[in-house]
Amino acid sequence: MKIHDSITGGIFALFGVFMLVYAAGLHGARHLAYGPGFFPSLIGGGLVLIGGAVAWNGLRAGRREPLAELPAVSGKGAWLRFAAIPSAILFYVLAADTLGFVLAAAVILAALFTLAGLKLRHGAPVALAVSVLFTVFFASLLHMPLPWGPLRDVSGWLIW
Amino acid sequence: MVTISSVFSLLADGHLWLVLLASAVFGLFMGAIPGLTALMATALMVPIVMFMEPVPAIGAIITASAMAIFAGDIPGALMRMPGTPASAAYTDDAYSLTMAGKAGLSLGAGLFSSVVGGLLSAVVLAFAAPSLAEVALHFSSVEYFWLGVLGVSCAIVIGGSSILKGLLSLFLGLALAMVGMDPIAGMPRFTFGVPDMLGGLSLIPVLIGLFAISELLRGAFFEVSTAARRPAIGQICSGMTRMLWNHRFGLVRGSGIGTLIGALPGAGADVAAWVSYAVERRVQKGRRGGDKEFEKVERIMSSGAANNAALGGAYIPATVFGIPGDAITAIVISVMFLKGVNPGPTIFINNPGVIYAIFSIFFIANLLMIPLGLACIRAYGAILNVPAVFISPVILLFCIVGAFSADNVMFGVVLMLVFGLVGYVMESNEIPLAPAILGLILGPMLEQNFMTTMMKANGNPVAFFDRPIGGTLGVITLGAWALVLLLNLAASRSARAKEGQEEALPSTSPRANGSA
Repeated sequence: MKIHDSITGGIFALFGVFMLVYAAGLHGARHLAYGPGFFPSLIGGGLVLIGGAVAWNGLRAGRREPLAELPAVSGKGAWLRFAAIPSAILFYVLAADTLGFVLAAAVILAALFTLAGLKLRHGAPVALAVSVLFTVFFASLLHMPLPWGPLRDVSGWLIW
Repeated sequence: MVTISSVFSLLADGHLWLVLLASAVFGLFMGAIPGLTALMATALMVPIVMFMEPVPAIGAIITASAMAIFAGDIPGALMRMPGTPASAAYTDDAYSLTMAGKAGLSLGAGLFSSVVGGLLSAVVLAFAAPSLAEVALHFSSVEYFWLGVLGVSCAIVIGGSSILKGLLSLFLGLALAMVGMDPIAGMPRFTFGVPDMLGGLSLIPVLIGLFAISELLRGAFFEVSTAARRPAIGQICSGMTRMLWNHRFGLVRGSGIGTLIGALPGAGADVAAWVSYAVERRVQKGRRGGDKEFEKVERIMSSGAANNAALGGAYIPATVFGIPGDAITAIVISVMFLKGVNPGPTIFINNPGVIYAIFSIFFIANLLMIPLGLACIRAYGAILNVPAVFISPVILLFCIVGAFSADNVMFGVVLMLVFGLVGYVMESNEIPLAPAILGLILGPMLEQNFMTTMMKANGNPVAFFDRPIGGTLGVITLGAWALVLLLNLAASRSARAKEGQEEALPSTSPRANGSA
């Protein structure tokens, strides 16, 4: 997604202003001449200057460009496939502790396979197999503390 | 003093060889599929190498990235689709050889030049890094501050099309580096009451987000397909020795350029290949009555050597100063910290066995490339038979596990999501990602050295210039920036003068962002 430079630059400059304000509120120990806010305020100032310059250049050079431009897509369902990726991650963050890794991962994979055009009755078994494989490799063998969910009580047997 | 036997004892380990072999196969697979890059291969390996000893962990990354950079040549030569951005420079040359029925020659040139480039850069790495480290032992906060500034400056000047946007990216990275406790007084900053942010933003989830998730998001707009017509390959190895000898100058030029560009922070294998390609074209222009096929092979060999040499070059600043030479070594540095092998000049004193074992793996990996690369070329049809619909969802799952594994907290997955979106928006607005990564990695080092120097000198900025090496570095850095500003000013003035006469032509130079 292409956004007009004047907006991008403006956002960065605002971010710089926020840093300056936040840094001004940081007070270090009294005997230190340069407190914890000193370096952040240099960076905030830099962001204001550079963001401002990008915005200024954008205003001067790109008057005729649209404010925002959507990317070129191919095939139907492109936006759905795009949105599915952040949604899948969000789903994992919210559901993994209750569902456990195996189920959460299987749901995500099955959904993404279906979106990519695979039939659910083909995709679901593959999704489950892959997430079991991941669990065996990362949790059982490498002892990564992936969430077990409903399997928590028996997880001791599943870690080798 | 390191003894050869101690290095050999680290290398004589069946487990290590198994790891190298497995990561080689993984790297070849990732590189051979268009859209999956060497950098992504490295990011996906993080959750696995996290559980290994330092030598196999770094060795796995070295092997996989070298293999992936070579394997990127295969779809480039056979289908005109570079497998990784590092192969894009010479894809047209390689494909035209294939169309002329010489796929074996084209792939052989790619494979053996990769091996030569990798080996030559490994030699430079093994000799240059320890001697640089000896000098670096005498560095104080002033020198480290200027090195850091010089590093991020390189990333901006080489890395992107617009210096302003590079600076924007750098300052974003520096700003993100301020999250967590400040290095002098230990006071929490920008944490907003989130305990997971007290230790700063974890590097690995941010890297996976910026590079892997943003790539998946971009790829989501296109329908996946790996099906394509595959031409016959034919003989690969026959006559290769003579061929390498005939192109020795191109190979050495490419390896040199690659190692140098790899060593400059922020520019990686893709920039190295483009620069080497351009240099080769200029060299060929000066020569009269060239044979077309000879010239094509020379360009493939030179830039094929350059992109693999860049991988080795990137480890020079990474191991000696802790400044990553490209995005792959950015990940390597964070893995090294996690494994307790802190990069920096003292690594050659504290962990000589480990560091020389890592250097030796460069030689091993590049030699392994010959048989495995040949096998990969032959098995390419089978790789393409992996149904494409499975690939990106499984990669997403790898990313989730990888982001989680850095600190074993769900917050890592949240960070990955946020930076995936940020990276996607940045790339679509032509804001390069590499400077942000350098800013995030070097931010704490820059701040600490800046503050230490300021405090030592009671706030007198002359302290930044009154040591011989530090002062020289400072003058070089400031001089380079002055030069860049002057050149830009002159360029914009001449562009404005031209504007009245004609519409400005769009620039055709390749934009690079340090990703490989």
